Amino acid sequence: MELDDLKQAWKHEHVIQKQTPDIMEMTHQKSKAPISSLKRSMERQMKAIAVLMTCIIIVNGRYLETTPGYILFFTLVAFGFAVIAALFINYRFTKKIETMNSPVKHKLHDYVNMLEGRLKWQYFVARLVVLILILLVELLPLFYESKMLNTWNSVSPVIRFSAYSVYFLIIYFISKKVKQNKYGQHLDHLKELLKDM
Amino acid sequence: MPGKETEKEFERKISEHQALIHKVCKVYAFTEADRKDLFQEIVIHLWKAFPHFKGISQFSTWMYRVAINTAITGLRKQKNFIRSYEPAMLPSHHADEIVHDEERWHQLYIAINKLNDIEKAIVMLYLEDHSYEEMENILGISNGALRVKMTRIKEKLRQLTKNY
Repeated sequence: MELDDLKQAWKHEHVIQKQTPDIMEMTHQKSKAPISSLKRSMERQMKAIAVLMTCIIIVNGRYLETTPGYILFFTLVAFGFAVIAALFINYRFTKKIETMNSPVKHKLHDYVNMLEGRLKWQYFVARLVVLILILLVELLPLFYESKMLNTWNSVSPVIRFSAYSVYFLIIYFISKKVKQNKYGQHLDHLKELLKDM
Repeated sequence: MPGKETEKEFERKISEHQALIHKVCKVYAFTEADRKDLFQEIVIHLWKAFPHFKGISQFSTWMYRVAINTAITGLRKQKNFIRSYEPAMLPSHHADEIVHDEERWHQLYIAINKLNDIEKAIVMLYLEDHSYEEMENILGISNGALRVKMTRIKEKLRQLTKNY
Protein backbone atom coordinates (compact mmCIF):
# COMPACT_ATOMS: atom_id res chain seq x y z
CA MET A 1 0.00 0.00 0.00
CA GLU A 2 1.27 3.46 -0.91
CA LEU A 3 1.63 6.43 1.40
CA ASP A 4 -0.05 8.64 -1.20
CA ASP A 5 -3.20 6.52 -0.87
CA LEU A 6 -3.40 7.63 2.75
CA LYS A 7 -2.84 11.32 1.95
CA GLN A 8 -6.38 12.17 0.91
CA ALA A 9 -7.87 10.20 3.79
CA TRP A 10 -5.51 11.88 6.27
CA LYS A 11 -6.37 15.39 5.05
CA HIS A 12 -10.09 14.82 5.38
CA GLU A 13 -9.86 13.05 8.70
CA HIS A 14 -12.02 14.59 11.41
CA VAL A 15 -10.45 14.40 14.77
CA ILE A 16 -13.07 13.15 17.18
CA GLN A 17 -12.95 15.30 20.28
CA LYS A 18 -14.88 13.94 23.21
CA GLN A 19 -14.91 17.26 25.05
CA THR A 20 -13.28 20.66 24.64
CA PRO A 21 -10.17 20.61 26.79
CA ASP A 22 -9.54 23.45 29.24
CA ILE A 23 -6.43 24.86 27.58
CA MET A 24 -5.43 27.37 30.28
CA GLU A 25 -5.97 24.77 33.03
CA MET A 26 -3.45 22.54 31.22
CA THR A 27 -0.83 25.29 31.13
CA HIS A 28 -0.81 25.32 34.95
CA GLN A 29 0.16 21.66 35.17
CA LYS A 30 3.77 20.54 35.70
CA SER A 31 5.56 19.35 32.60
CA LYS A 32 6.62 15.68 32.67
CA ALA A 33 9.46 16.27 30.21
CA PRO A 34 12.93 15.12 31.38
CA ILE A 35 14.32 18.63 30.89
CA SER A 36 11.60 20.15 33.07
CA SER A 37 12.25 17.49 35.68
CA LEU A 38 15.98 18.37 35.56
CA LYS A 39 15.12 22.06 35.98
CA ARG A 40 12.93 21.33 39.03
CA SER A 41 15.70 19.13 40.45
CA MET A 42 18.10 22.10 40.20
CA GLU A 43 15.57 24.31 42.02
CA ARG A 44 15.30 21.75 44.83
CA GLN A 45 19.09 21.45 45.06
CA MET A 46 19.49 25.24 45.34
CA LYS A 47 16.92 25.34 48.16
CA ALA A 48 18.48 22.33 49.91
CA ILE A 49 21.97 23.85 49.81
CA ALA A 50 20.64 27.18 51.10
CA VAL A 51 18.98 25.38 54.03
CA LEU A 52 22.12 23.30 54.66
CA MET A 53 24.32 26.40 54.68
CA THR A 54 21.98 28.11 57.14
CA CYS A 55 22.22 25.08 59.46
CA ILE A 56 26.03 25.02 59.15
CA ILE A 57 26.22 28.72 60.00
CA ILE A 58 23.98 28.31 63.04
CA VAL A 59 25.58 25.09 64.33
CA ASN A 60 29.24 26.03 63.74
CA GLY A 61 29.13 29.74 64.47
CA ARG A 62 30.41 29.14 67.98
CA TYR A 63 33.69 27.59 66.74
CA LEU A 64 34.73 30.72 64.91
CA GLU A 65 37.21 31.83 67.56
CA THR A 66 39.76 29.33 66.21
CA THR A 67 41.62 29.61 62.91
CA PRO A 68 40.66 26.19 61.57
CA GLY A 69 37.13 27.06 62.52
CA TYR A 70 37.30 30.17 60.35
CA ILE A 71 38.97 28.36 57.46
CA LEU A 72 36.54 25.44 57.41
CA PHE A 73 33.53 27.58 58.07
CA PHE A 74 34.17 30.17 55.38
CA THR A 75 35.30 27.49 52.93
CA LEU A 76 31.97 25.74 53.43
CA VAL A 77 30.06 28.99 53.06
CA ALA A 78 32.03 29.97 49.92
CA PHE A 79 31.42 26.53 48.43
CA GLY A 80 27.77 26.75 49.25
CA PHE A 81 27.46 30.08 47.46
CA ALA A 82 29.54 28.83 44.52
CA VAL A 83 27.36 25.73 44.10
CA ILE A 84 24.16 27.78 44.34
CA ALA A 85 25.53 30.24 41.76
CA ALA A 86 26.54 27.43 39.40
CA LEU A 87 23.16 25.73 39.80
CA PHE A 88 21.44 29.03 39.09
CA ILE A 89 23.42 29.52 35.86
CA ASN A 90 22.57 25.96 34.83
CA TYR A 91 18.95 26.54 35.76
CA ARG A 92 18.73 29.62 33.54
CA PHE A 93 20.40 27.75 30.67
CA THR A 94 18.09 24.75 31.07
CA LYS A 95 15.07 27.04 31.12
CA LYS A 96 16.24 28.54 27.81
CA ILE A 97 16.66 25.10 26.25
CA GLU A 98 13.23 24.09 27.57
CA THR A 99 11.45 26.30 25.01
CA MET A 100 10.73 24.14 22.00
CA ASN A 101 10.32 26.63 19.18
CA SER A 102 13.54 25.99 17.20
CA PRO A 103 13.60 23.70 14.15
CA VAL A 104 13.64 20.07 15.30
CA LYS A 105 17.24 19.24 14.30
CA HIS A 106 18.68 22.31 16.09
CA LYS A 107 16.57 21.67 19.18
CA LEU A 108 17.60 18.02 19.31
CA HIS A 109 21.26 18.98 18.96
CA ASP A 110 21.05 21.62 21.75
CA TYR A 111 19.03 19.31 23.96
CA VAL A 112 21.42 16.34 23.67
CA ASN A 113 24.47 18.56 24.28
CA MET A 114 22.82 20.24 27.24
CA LEU A 115 21.65 17.03 28.89
CA GLU A 116 25.00 15.29 28.41
CA GLY A 117 26.94 18.32 29.57
CA ARG A 118 24.85 18.95 32.66
CA LEU A 119 24.91 15.32 33.75
CA LYS A 120 28.72 15.19 33.39
CA TRP A 121 29.06 18.50 35.23
CA GLN A 122 26.81 17.38 38.10
CA TYR A 123 28.74 14.11 38.36
CA PHE A 124 32.11 15.87 38.41
CA VAL A 125 31.22 18.77 40.77
CA ALA A 126 29.44 16.59 43.32
CA ARG A 127 32.61 14.50 43.70
CA LEU A 128 34.98 17.47 43.63
CA VAL A 129 33.10 19.23 46.44
CA VAL A 130 33.17 16.15 48.66
CA LEU A 131 36.86 15.54 47.86
CA ILE A 132 37.81 19.10 48.84
CA LEU A 133 35.83 18.86 52.07
CA ILE A 134 37.58 15.57 52.91
CA LEU A 135 40.99 17.20 52.23
CA LEU A 136 40.11 20.09 54.54
CA VAL A 137 38.83 17.78 57.25
CA GLU A 138 42.08 15.76 57.07
CA LEU A 139 44.64 18.55 56.55
CA LEU A 140 43.40 21.29 58.88
CA PRO A 141 44.01 19.34 62.13
CA LEU A 142 47.67 18.85 61.05
CA PHE A 143 48.21 22.61 61.35
CA TYR A 144 45.60 23.78 63.82
CA GLU A 145 43.77 22.56 66.88
CA SER A 146 40.15 22.16 65.91
CA LYS A 147 37.33 21.39 68.36
CA MET A 148 34.97 20.94 65.42
CA LEU A 149 36.98 18.06 63.98
CA ASN A 150 38.30 16.44 67.18
CA THR A 151 35.67 13.73 67.38
CA TRP A 152 36.12 12.61 63.79
CA ASN A 153 39.91 12.82 63.91
CA SER A 154 40.01 10.65 67.03
CA VAL A 155 38.75 7.77 64.89
CA SER A 156 41.54 5.59 63.40
CA PRO A 157 42.80 6.83 59.98
CA VAL A 158 42.20 3.37 58.52
CA ILE A 159 38.54 3.58 59.43
CA ARG A 160 38.25 7.20 58.24
CA PHE A 161 39.80 6.51 54.83
CA SER A 162 37.82 3.29 54.47
CA ALA A 163 34.67 5.29 55.14
CA TYR A 164 35.65 7.82 52.44
CA SER A 165 36.38 4.99 49.95
CA VAL A 166 33.11 3.23 50.68
CA TYR A 167 31.26 6.53 50.25
CA PHE A 168 32.83 7.18 46.85
CA LEU A 169 32.20 3.60 45.70
CA ILE A 170 28.56 3.69 46.75
CA ILE A 171 28.06 7.10 45.13
CA TYR A 172 29.75 5.89 41.93
CA PHE A 173 27.47 2.89 41.51
CA ILE A 174 24.27 4.53 42.75
CA SER A 175 24.65 7.69 40.67
CA LYS A 176 25.58 5.67 37.55
CA LYS A 177 22.43 3.56 37.98
CA VAL A 178 20.22 6.55 38.78
CA LYS A 179 21.60 8.52 35.84
CA GLN A 180 21.07 5.62 33.42
CA ASN A 181 17.55 4.95 34.67
CA LYS A 182 16.52 8.57 34.71
CA TYR A 183 18.13 9.95 31.57
CA GLY A 184 20.45 7.38 30.01
CA GLN A 185 18.03 5.51 27.75
CA HIS A 186 16.29 8.71 26.74
CA LEU A 187 19.62 10.31 25.85
CA ASP A 188 20.76 7.26 23.87
CA HIS A 189 17.49 7.30 21.90
CA LEU A 190 17.86 11.00 21.08
CA LYS A 191 21.50 10.56 20.01
CA GLU A 192 20.41 7.82 17.60
CA LEU A 193 17.79 10.14 16.09
CA LEU A 194 20.34 12.94 15.72
CA LYS A 195 22.77 10.59 13.98
CA ASP A 196 20.02 9.65 11.55
CA MET A 197 19.24 13.28 10.72
CA MET B 1 3.51 37.39 34.00
CA PRO B 2 1.43 37.09 30.83
CA GLY B 3 -1.77 39.16 30.98
CA LYS B 4 -5.38 38.15 30.43
CA GLU B 5 -5.21 39.38 26.82
CA THR B 6 -2.27 37.06 26.10
CA GLU B 7 -4.12 34.15 27.70
CA LYS B 8 -7.22 34.81 25.62
CA GLU B 9 -5.15 35.13 22.44
CA PHE B 10 -3.32 31.88 23.23
CA GLU B 11 -6.53 30.02 24.00
CA ARG B 12 -8.14 31.24 20.78
CA LYS B 13 -5.18 30.25 18.60
CA ILE B 14 -4.79 26.82 20.21
CA SER B 15 -8.52 26.08 19.90
CA GLU B 16 -8.36 27.05 16.21
CA HIS B 17 -5.44 24.71 15.55
CA GLN B 18 -6.32 21.97 18.00
CA ALA B 19 -6.63 19.35 15.26
CA LEU B 20 -2.93 19.78 14.48
CA ILE B 21 -1.99 18.82 18.05
CA HIS B 22 -4.35 15.85 17.99
CA LYS B 23 -2.75 14.59 14.79
CA VAL B 24 0.75 14.86 16.29
CA CYS B 25 -0.49 12.95 19.35
CA LYS B 26 -1.99 10.29 17.12
CA VAL B 27 1.36 9.72 15.39
CA TYR B 28 3.56 9.76 18.50
CA ALA B 29 1.37 8.21 21.19
CA PHE B 30 -0.26 4.84 21.05
CA THR B 31 -2.84 4.68 23.80
CA GLU B 32 -5.60 7.10 24.73
CA ALA B 33 -3.88 7.87 28.05
CA ASP B 34 -0.55 8.57 26.31
CA ARG B 35 -2.27 10.82 23.79
CA LYS B 36 -3.92 12.83 26.58
CA ASP B 37 -0.55 13.17 28.35
CA LEU B 38 1.18 14.23 25.15
CA PHE B 39 -1.60 16.71 24.30
CA GLN B 40 -1.20 18.34 27.70
CA GLU B 41 2.60 18.34 27.41
CA ILE B 42 2.40 20.04 24.00
CA VAL B 43 0.00 22.68 25.32
CA ILE B 44 2.33 23.38 28.27
CA HIS B 45 5.30 23.89 25.92
CA LEU B 46 3.26 25.98 23.49
CA TRP B 47 2.35 28.26 26.39
CA LYS B 48 6.00 28.52 27.51
CA ALA B 49 7.13 29.32 23.97
CA PHE B 50 4.20 31.64 23.12
CA PRO B 51 5.95 34.85 24.31
CA HIS B 52 8.78 33.99 21.83
CA PHE B 53 6.46 33.72 18.82
CA LYS B 54 7.28 36.77 16.76
CA GLY B 55 4.99 36.06 13.82
CA ILE B 56 7.90 35.60 11.38
CA SER B 57 6.62 32.17 10.39
CA GLN B 58 3.01 31.04 10.19
CA PHE B 59 1.41 30.10 13.49
CA SER B 60 0.80 26.52 12.32
CA THR B 61 4.48 26.16 11.29
CA TRP B 62 5.55 27.36 14.74
CA MET B 63 3.04 25.00 16.40
CA TYR B 64 4.39 22.06 14.42
CA ARG B 65 7.94 22.82 15.61
CA VAL B 66 6.92 22.99 19.25
CA ALA B 67 4.60 19.96 19.01
CA ILE B 68 7.12 17.71 17.23
CA ASN B 69 9.98 18.85 19.50
CA THR B 70 7.83 18.07 22.53
CA ALA B 71 6.76 14.69 21.18
CA ILE B 72 10.36 13.69 20.43
CA THR B 73 12.14 15.11 23.49
CA GLY B 74 9.30 15.65 25.90
CA LEU B 75 8.28 12.25 27.05
CA ARG B 76 10.14 9.04 27.47
CA LYS B 77 9.11 6.52 24.91
CA GLN B 78 6.69 3.71 25.57
CA LYS B 79 7.78 0.44 23.99
CA ASN B 80 4.34 -0.79 22.94
CA PHE B 81 2.93 -0.01 19.55
CA ILE B 82 -0.47 -0.63 18.04
CA ARG B 83 -1.36 -4.28 18.34
CA SER B 84 -5.05 -3.79 17.86
CA TYR B 85 -6.99 -0.80 16.74
CA GLU B 86 -10.25 0.94 17.37
CA PRO B 87 -12.43 1.97 14.44
CA ALA B 88 -12.16 5.58 15.69
CA MET B 89 -8.44 5.47 14.84
CA LEU B 90 -9.18 4.96 11.15
CA PRO B 91 -9.94 7.94 8.88
CA SER B 92 -13.60 8.65 9.58
CA HIS B 93 -14.74 9.08 5.99
CA HIS B 94 -13.65 5.53 5.34
CA ALA B 95 -16.11 4.21 7.89
CA ASP B 96 -18.41 2.90 5.12
CA GLU B 97 -15.53 1.12 3.37
CA ILE B 98 -14.28 -0.37 6.60
CA VAL B 99 -14.77 -3.98 5.61
CA HIS B 100 -12.93 -3.62 2.31
CA ASP B 101 -9.91 -1.40 3.19
CA GLU B 102 -9.78 -1.88 6.95
CA GLU B 103 -6.88 -4.29 6.99
CA ARG B 104 -4.84 -2.18 4.54
CA TRP B 105 -5.25 1.03 6.61
CA HIS B 106 -4.47 -0.93 9.73
CA GLN B 107 -1.25 -2.27 8.24
CA LEU B 108 -0.18 1.14 6.95
CA TYR B 109 -0.71 2.68 10.40
CA ILE B 110 1.24 -0.19 11.99
CA ALA B 111 4.02 0.35 9.45
CA ILE B 112 4.12 4.12 10.15
CA ASN B 113 4.44 3.36 13.85
CA LYS B 114 7.52 1.27 13.15
CA LEU B 115 9.35 4.30 11.75
CA ASN B 116 11.64 6.32 14.02
CA ASP B 117 10.47 9.64 15.47
CA ILE B 118 12.06 11.77 12.72
CA GLU B 119 10.63 9.61 9.94
CA LYS B 120 7.20 9.85 11.57
CA ALA B 121 7.49 13.65 11.57
CA ILE B 122 8.40 13.64 7.87
CA VAL B 123 5.50 11.31 7.04
CA MET B 124 3.05 13.37 9.07
CA LEU B 125 4.09 16.64 7.41
CA TYR B 126 3.94 14.92 4.00
CA LEU B 127 0.42 13.68 4.72
CA GLU B 128 -0.51 17.22 5.79
CA ASP B 129 0.59 18.34 2.33
CA HIS B 130 3.45 20.57 3.47
CA SER B 131 6.01 21.52 0.84
CA TYR B 132 9.61 20.46 1.28
CA GLU B 133 10.48 24.11 2.02
CA GLU B 134 7.95 24.17 4.86
CA MET B 135 9.24 20.84 6.16
CA GLU B 136 12.79 22.26 6.08
CA ASN B 137 11.57 25.22 8.13
CA ILE B 138 9.97 22.94 10.72
CA LEU B 139 12.51 20.13 10.91
CA GLY B 140 15.78 21.93 10.16
CA ILE B 141 16.71 19.24 7.60
CA SER B 142 17.76 20.47 4.16
CA ASN B 143 15.38 20.17 1.21
CA GLY B 144 17.64 17.69 -0.59
CA ALA B 145 18.07 15.47 2.47
CA LEU B 146 14.31 15.50 3.03
CA ARG B 147 13.61 14.29 -0.50
CA VAL B 148 16.12 11.45 -0.09
CA LYS B 149 14.61 10.48 3.26
CA MET B 150 11.08 10.60 1.83
CA THR B 151 12.06 8.19 -0.96
CA ARG B 152 13.59 5.82 1.60
CA ILE B 153 10.55 6.08 3.88
CA LYS B 154 8.14 5.27 1.03
CA GLU B 155 10.23 2.25 0.13
CA LYS B 156 10.35 1.17 3.76
CA LEU B 157 6.57 1.43 4.08
CA ARG B 158 6.10 -0.41 0.81
CA GLN B 159 8.26 -3.25 2.13
CA LEU B 160 6.45 -3.31 5.49
CA THR B 161 3.02 -3.47 3.85
CA LYS B 162 3.83 -5.52 0.75
CA ASN B 163 1.91 -8.56 1.90
CA TYR B 164 -1.34 -6.56 2.29
